[in-house]
Amino acid sequence: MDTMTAALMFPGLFLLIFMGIPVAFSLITVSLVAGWFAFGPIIFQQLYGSIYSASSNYVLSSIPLFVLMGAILEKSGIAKNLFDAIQMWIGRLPGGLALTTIAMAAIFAAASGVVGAVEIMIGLMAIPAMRAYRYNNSLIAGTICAGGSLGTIIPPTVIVVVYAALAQLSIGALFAAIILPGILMLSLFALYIVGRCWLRPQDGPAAKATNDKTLGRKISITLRALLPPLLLMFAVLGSLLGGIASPTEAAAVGVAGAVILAVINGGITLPSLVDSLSLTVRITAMILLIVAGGTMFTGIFAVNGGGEMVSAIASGLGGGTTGVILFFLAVTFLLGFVLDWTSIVLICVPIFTPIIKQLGIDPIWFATLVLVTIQTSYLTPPMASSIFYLKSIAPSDITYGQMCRGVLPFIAVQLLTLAVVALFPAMATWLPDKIVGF
Amino acid sequence: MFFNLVDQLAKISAWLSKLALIVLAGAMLYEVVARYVFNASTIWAFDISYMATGVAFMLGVAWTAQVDGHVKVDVLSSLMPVRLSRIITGVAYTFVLFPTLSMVALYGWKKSLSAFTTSEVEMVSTWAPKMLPFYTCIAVGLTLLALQVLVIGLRSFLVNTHSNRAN
Repeated sequence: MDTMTAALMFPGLFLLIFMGIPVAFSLITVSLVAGWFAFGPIIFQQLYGSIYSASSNYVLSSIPLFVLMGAILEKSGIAKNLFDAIQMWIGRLPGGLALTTIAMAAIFAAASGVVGAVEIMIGLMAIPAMRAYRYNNSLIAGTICAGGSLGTIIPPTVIVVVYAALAQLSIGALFAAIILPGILMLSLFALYIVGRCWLRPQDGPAAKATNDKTLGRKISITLRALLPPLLLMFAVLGSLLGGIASPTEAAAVGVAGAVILAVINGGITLPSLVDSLSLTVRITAMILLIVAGGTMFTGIFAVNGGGEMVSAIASGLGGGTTGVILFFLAVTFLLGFVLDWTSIVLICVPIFTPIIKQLGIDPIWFATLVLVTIQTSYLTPPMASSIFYLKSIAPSDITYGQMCRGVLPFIAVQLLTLAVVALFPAMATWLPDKIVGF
Repeated sequence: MFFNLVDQLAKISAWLSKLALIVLAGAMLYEVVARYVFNASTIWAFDISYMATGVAFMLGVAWTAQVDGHVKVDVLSSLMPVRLSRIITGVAYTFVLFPTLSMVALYGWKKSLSAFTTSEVEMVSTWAPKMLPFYTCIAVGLTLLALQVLVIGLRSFLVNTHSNRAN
């Protein structure tokens, strides 16, 4: 039980990860080596214990169902109709197509925590539309990446489920906490797009009205394309926040709703349903194996005195409570350059949580700050997963440089949101307090 | 032959995993309906929800490794010579992960055996189901994962010697 082992666990982990070993396997390997010193051969029993606890944690049951709901919606064919319906209303504003893209991303982000999948689906639809109006390449790239990143901050999201399970917070309370910051960020995204395109119309011209539809026709399109997915979101979130259903039950209702929507739109076939299930198995296994590996890793880190070590570093920096929060957010931000959100949450939350509790910091507020920070890291070059996803679908004349320049204003907006939540904790804590039961 | 067998077993187990997801969704929907329409909560919803999730996870984990679905960071490793990264994968999978996961799987089987001999039941729930099936699924999943990891490791060595011959 010496801190030397604990101190070496992180360099060891990053060495393995950078050699291309999957994150979950890297976590298991480092836990094995470090745990061997602490426990000897009993370590295998400990490793089994972590896998068992990941398999039998009922809080995590909502993850596969939220993923399945998103996967079915994605394949249901409602996306195209939804895009057209939103564009009909806001397409003629400056930067209207970019606004449509962001709105669309927000709705789909709410449906699924699988950020990459949402970004690709929206990108495939929005890139040709925006290019037809000769939108500026960096605005196209920034909009799609930023839209893709909304998956972490618009509830219901899988990240919140994992975070809440690890920090032993209420899933509903944490969902409620991120609603206002999410709305703020979304509004600022929209404000930036409208402002930029109003000042420089050549970057994002308003879409021309193709053939003026009557108001009645518009309303009927809206009722059919826009309302059902919105109703589904409200049903899932409402039943969860209202305490009518547990997160797992709300997610199951969401799956049923997604299937019904898909059938109405005629977009679901048996093969695509099986595809959705396959995707869900893959993502569930991926996330839960990291949960298991992360549990091992942080458990053994704690046994070797890692917690005290982090605590000592954090207090050694000076700056008191604020200093500790800034230090933790900086670590989260830096890890975001290389790791995906599952790994960040799994590694950081168990280490941060006891220290946060000890200092008397509101855990819900702190969680919101961490979630906004993780979202930022999804956009930050050089290793921004959002840009890698975009690169896989973008036409070749949108360069990497344009993509990086494109995401910068959106990162600034996210940092602004982070600052607002940091300065006004009520942004995160007011709504959970208002809702009865939390 | 051995390689294909392991691949096939992992695929079959992934199908069972999909089935577990359907059970999970169905059971949770039934619970909601039972509570609000029939006004009678089930006693098994809690157990089914975590067990179905756990089974979907454990039976899907080997296949996920097979289709390279476990998230990794390949920014640096893609810059390494292909042979080097294959050797790293081969060594890590064959000599570290396979033995480790085998030992963990072995413990999983021991746990199943003891649940069988003592007829262990779930302690928290009122339904109190037998734990044996759940433990067995975990042990099967771990065993398949260990085998799949061995196959991935050995394959990366074989492709390596193969490309040597080609050079």
